[in-house]
Amino acid sequence: MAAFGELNRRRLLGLLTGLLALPAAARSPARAPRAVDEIVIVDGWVLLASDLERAALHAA
Amino acid sequence: MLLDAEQPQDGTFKDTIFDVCICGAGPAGITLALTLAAKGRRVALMEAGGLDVTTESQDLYQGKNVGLAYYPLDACRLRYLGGSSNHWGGFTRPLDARDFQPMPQHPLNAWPIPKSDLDAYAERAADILDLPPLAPPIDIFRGKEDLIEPGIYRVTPMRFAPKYRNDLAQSQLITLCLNANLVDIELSENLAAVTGMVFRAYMRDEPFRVVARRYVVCCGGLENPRALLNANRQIPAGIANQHDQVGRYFCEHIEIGVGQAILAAPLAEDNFYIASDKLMADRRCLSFEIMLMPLQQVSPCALPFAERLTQALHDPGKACFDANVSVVTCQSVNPSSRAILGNTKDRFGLRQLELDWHIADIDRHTLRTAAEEMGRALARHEVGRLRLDPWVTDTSINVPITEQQSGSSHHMCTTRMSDDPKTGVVDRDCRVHGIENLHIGGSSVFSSPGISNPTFTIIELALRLADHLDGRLGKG
Repeated sequence: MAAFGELNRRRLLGLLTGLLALPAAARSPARAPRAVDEIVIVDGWVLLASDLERAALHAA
Repeated sequence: MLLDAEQPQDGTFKDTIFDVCICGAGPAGITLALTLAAKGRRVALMEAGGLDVTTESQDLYQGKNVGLAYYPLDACRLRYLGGSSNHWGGFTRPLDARDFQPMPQHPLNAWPIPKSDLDAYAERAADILDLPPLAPPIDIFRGKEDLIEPGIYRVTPMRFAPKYRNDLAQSQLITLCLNANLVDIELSENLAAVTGMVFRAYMRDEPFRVVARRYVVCCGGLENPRALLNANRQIPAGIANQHDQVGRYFCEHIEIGVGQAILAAPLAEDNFYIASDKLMADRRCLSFEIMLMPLQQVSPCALPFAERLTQALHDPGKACFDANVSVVTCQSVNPSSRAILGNTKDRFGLRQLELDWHIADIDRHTLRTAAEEMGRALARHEVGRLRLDPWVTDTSINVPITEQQSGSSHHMCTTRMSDDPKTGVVDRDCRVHGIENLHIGGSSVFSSPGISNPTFTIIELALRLADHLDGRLGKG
C-alpha cells in the first residue's frame, strides 16, 4: 500500500495531467483573470483553482 | 498564619470555628481566601501539597483513562501550593458572550447566568493575574476576513504561590495549612449541611477536623467531583449525586494539529484566530480557536511564495512550510463524558479517578470545519495555502486524539452550574444543590467550556463567590 504522501503525489500529478488536456485557451495565464477565483480542496491542499493551472503550466 | 499538618497540632483547628473552610490552594482557593480575608472573614485554607512538588502528593493524582486517550492524570495537573498555576502557560481571555447563550447547534452549551455577572469582576481578575494591557490584535487578514476573527489574549507569567504566599502566611485572618489531604466531608443528620471537613497529613496517622460556617471545595476540575463522590460514608452515591450528575459533562479544550501552511509573508509570532458568529451559524459548528505557529527553519525557504507553492504541489516531499496550524475547540457538553471512581484506592483509602472522556460528532465536525475554513481564508485573501492532514478531509479516518496530543489540561464542567439539579451539581451561586453551606470553586462549575483558557474565568467566579459568601455570612 502506498504511503499517504506518495498517494497524494500520484493523485495530484494525475489532476495536473488532466488540466494539461484542457484547450490552451482555458489554461492560458494570458486569458482574462477570474472575478473570483474558485477555492478547491485537492488531496488536502486548500487552493485556488488558478494554483492548479499555474502548477499545470509549470509541469508542461 | 502558615501551618504544616505534618507538625503536631497547636489547637488552632480544634478551637476555632472558621467563617469559611476552603479546600485547595490553587488560583480559585487563593483568590477566594484573600478576598474573604479582605472582607474581614476568618478562613482556613487547606492545601494537600506542600510548598513544592513532591512524589507523595503527586501520586495521589494517579488514575486511569478509560475513554479517549488522554494525558496521564498525575501529569496534567500539579498538587501543591498554587496548584496548576505552577505550570500553566499564562494565556488568559474572558469567555465570549455567545458562550453563555444556548447554542442552536447544541443547547446544553450554555450558562444559567449572563456574561455581565462575570464582567463585573473582570478588572479585579486582571489585577490579580498581573495582566499586561491589551495589545492590538495581530491579523494576517488585515480586517478583510469576516468568518475568522483575530483572537486576543493577554499572557502573564504569574505563578500564584510565589506571588501570594507571603500575603497568605502573614494574614491574621487566614490559616493556610499545608500537607492537609481531604479525606471526608461530614454532613448533618438531615444530610442538608456540612458539619466539618476531615483531613490527614502524609506521615501522621490521626485525622483532624476543620469546622466552619461555610465550606468550599476548590481542588480542580477532576478532584472536585472525586471529593464529592468519595464522601460516601453517609450517602453511598456521594454528596450531591442524587441525580447521578457529579463528574458528568467532563469537557476539555480539544487541541490538535490540522496541517501546515505556506505563507506569502513570514509570521513574526504565533497568530490566534476564532470563529465568527456567522461562521458558527453557517456551518453549524461550535466555537473554535485556530493557531498559526511559525516553524523554525533550519534553512529558510529561499523561493518566493508562488514558486514554493508550485514546487510543493509537484513534489509534496520537498514542500517548504512556514507554519504549523492547530485547532482548539469548545467541546460539546455531553453527559456521557465523565469522571468516575475506579476500584483502586489511594494511600488514604479513597478510590482513584477514572476518566471516561468522550467527544461527539459535532466536536469532530467543528475540528474539521475550523481547519477547512482557515484554509479557505488563507487562499481567499492570498496570504497562504494550507495543506490539511488526511483526517481533516477524510471522515473515515478517526480524529487523532492520542496520549501526547489531545487536550489542553483544562478540566471543566464536572460539577456543572445549572438551575436544574438534573443537569448540574451547583446552582448559579456555586452552591451544591441540596447542601446549604457547601460551595465549589474552579473550572468544574463551568456550564460550558467556551474556547478561552479557563483561569481568567476561574478568578472571576472566585471573586463572585467571595461576594456571595460574604453576603450569606452576614454581620455575625
